[in-house]
Amino acid sequence: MERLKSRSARTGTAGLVRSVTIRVLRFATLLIGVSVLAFALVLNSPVDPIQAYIGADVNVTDEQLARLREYWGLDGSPIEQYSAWARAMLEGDLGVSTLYKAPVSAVIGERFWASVALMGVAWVLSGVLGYCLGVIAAFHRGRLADRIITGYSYVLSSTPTFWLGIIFLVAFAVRLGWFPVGLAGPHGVPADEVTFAQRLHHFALPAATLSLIGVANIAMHTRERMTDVLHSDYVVFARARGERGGSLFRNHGLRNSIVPAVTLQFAYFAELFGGSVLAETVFSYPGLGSTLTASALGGDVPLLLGIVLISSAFVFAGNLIADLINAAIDPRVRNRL
Amino acid sequence: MATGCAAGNSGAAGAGARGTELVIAVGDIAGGEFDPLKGWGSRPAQIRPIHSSLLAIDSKVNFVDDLASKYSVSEDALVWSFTVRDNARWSTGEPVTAQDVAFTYELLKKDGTRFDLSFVDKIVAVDDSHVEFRLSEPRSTFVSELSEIPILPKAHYGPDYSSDPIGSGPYRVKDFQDGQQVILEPNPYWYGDTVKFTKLTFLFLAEDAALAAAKSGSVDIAYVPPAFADQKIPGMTLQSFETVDSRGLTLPTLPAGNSGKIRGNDVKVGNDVTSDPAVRRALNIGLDREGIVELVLQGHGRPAYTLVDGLPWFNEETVFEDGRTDDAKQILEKGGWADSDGDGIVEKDGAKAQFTLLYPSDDQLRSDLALVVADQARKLGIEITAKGTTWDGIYLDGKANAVTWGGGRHHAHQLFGMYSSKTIDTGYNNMPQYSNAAVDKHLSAGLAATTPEEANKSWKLAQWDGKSGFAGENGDAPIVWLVRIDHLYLVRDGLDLGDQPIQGHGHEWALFNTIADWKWSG
Repeated sequence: MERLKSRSARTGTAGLVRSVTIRVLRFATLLIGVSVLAFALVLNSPVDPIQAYIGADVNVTDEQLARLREYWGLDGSPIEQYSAWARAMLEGDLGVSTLYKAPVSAVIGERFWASVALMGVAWVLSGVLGYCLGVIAAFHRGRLADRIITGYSYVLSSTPTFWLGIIFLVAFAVRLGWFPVGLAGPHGVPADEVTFAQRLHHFALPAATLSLIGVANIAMHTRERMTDVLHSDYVVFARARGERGGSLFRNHGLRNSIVPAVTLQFAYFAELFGGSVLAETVFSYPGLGSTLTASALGGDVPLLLGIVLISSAFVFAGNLIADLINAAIDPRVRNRL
Repeated sequence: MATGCAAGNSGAAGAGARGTELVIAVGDIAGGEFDPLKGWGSRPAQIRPIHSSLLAIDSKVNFVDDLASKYSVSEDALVWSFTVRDNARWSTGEPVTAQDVAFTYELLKKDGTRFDLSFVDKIVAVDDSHVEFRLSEPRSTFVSELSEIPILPKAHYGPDYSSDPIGSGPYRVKDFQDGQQVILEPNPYWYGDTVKFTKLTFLFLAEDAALAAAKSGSVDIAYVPPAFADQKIPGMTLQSFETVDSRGLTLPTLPAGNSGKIRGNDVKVGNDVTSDPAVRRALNIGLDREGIVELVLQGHGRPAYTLVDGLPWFNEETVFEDGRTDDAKQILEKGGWADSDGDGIVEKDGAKAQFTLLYPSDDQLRSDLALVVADQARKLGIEITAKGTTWDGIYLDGKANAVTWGGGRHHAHQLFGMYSSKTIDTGYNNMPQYSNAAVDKHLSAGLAATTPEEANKSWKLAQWDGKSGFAGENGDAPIVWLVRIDHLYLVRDGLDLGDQPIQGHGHEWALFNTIADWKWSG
């Protein structure tokens, strides 16, 4: 008995080491794959980086052009260009943004927190709100509350982020004037004098747009899952014992329905990133999303690759956290890990 | 929420009333902030708020002294000498010296990507207030670089210049929030008349966001694209400014089968239809420019006959009555073109008068222009196929087909670049591969001139000298210029934006030539 226990502990550690190694390898190959793909796409895009940089109507002499090509590193073959970037990257140097003429890490660092705050708030709000709505809908399946929530979710999930953003902008910023039209701080106020309340005020509309869009998916999945739970044998039995409403939810519903919700919500990182690009553009919010657009349109390869790497790390982390949390909640998943 | 609202309103203070503060949203103006090495100064009037330059333009687009109190050009046009004004101060209070000027030009010449200073051989700061430029070839259009390059402080310039720029212009930067806004306050050491505003805030908002901000009442000046010019916003008036921002068609002047270069790439050159002068002239007088302005710019523009309409070096003899369908048909007939098969398109030697017109499909204005031109040309008996492509595509096929071309600067060098045979196969100069000995002679004389008056005379003769030229009713028309765009802004009622010169290409900064003179009228 004693021996058996210690053996299972050992396999447990070995298993953990193995699964961590696999994940690290997966992460590395993901980054390599994504960066090669992004690089190939930029190289084959119709955007000529130099053209984008100097503007369509600005003529340059042949000498200027030659110097720009040299500065951009466009002299070498694609493979040379990529390996030069990858080598520097392995040494921790993300390169210099050609558009901003500043280190990529500095450009990203400046904008990262604005985006993280936006996405973080949208993520938490959409998760909590979506889960609650899903639960309510399931408990009232077929009745008015369910129909309202379902209808609302269908409408929202067929709504593009930028469109909802524009509607909010027109309604709340232009017509009603409750919120500012864009940017992250009030006009004419130096950055160090902007109060937290003002920041929040500018933050509200883009965050609300992103949150509301995210609600639909999670609400509908939770509704389905919770309906299954409510029709399961153990709930029928619990009901027979007299459990109702709150206690039924606490004892049986929560744990059984939260797993898919959590998985979904962490996997939603990827969509959230895409949504924030659009929301930031509509609300002129200076985050990673708008910088990503600028770098892609401007042919700024180092900056684009930098943002792509950061965002894939972000999405990968989301999925990893989802796995870990699932394991923590559900012993069956833990055993499989 | 309540505090949030209050905060938002106080933030927008200045907009809406005749205050001493202005909020300005003229498009997404982010990029290259304050540093010429990053491109600051490559757009007309971009440097005016916080920098000064040796020369500047006045409201008639004459080149006048700015940081220089006087200048002279040597007899052989190779030595330009400047005296730096003695009351010029940096926003830190230190004097601006000839060494600062030399430092700036050396820096940009060495960089060699942003400003073309390849014709400058040597820059010498003779003493604290005198600087000399020695050129390797005569270049009267040097005045354009002299009025576009912002002078930098030698003692304060470094990699962090963008975040703490020091200039010698009317305003200085109080706060720069990258990607969001720039807040300016008056430079107390500015050598000009005291400015009337205590704070200018430039918002980095794209066009639709700028318009939305104007509607919500939080900006005083907003750029409007022509399509939205009908918008009425209480308290604001639409102000329209004439520009030299021109659009037209380049038409290859050589027959098909030649070869040449665009930006260093070997490309096919020539087109059998457009190389016939009769076809180019027929288009030049047959197309209806007013009609194009109406359709393409919703009326917010004016006809263009040369690249330089309205500027001091514009030859007014090149203006003619257009939209003359019958005359155009007659020219074609005299050139041997006739519609023998009755399909409405003329032929010559069995070949139809048809060619392809390339336009960049991401450019709405040029797309519309191409379609309208194709439609009008059909009435003349010429079949134009409008084809959308990318700029890369245009730089590959642009010398064998027609292209919707653009330009318009406050200097005459573009004339040399677009029409001199010396520029063929360099950059994307002279797309039609045009050469005319008489025009070449005038253009070279223009470059070698030692005074602006002398140069302007030559530029005018190059357009039309009474016998030949690249413009005018009887000119060679390698580029048929069609329209000039008006820049439109919604401006707070009562705001006087000064005596604006004809604006240059690019609506974002063009307004700021007169920034030091802005005031409330009445």
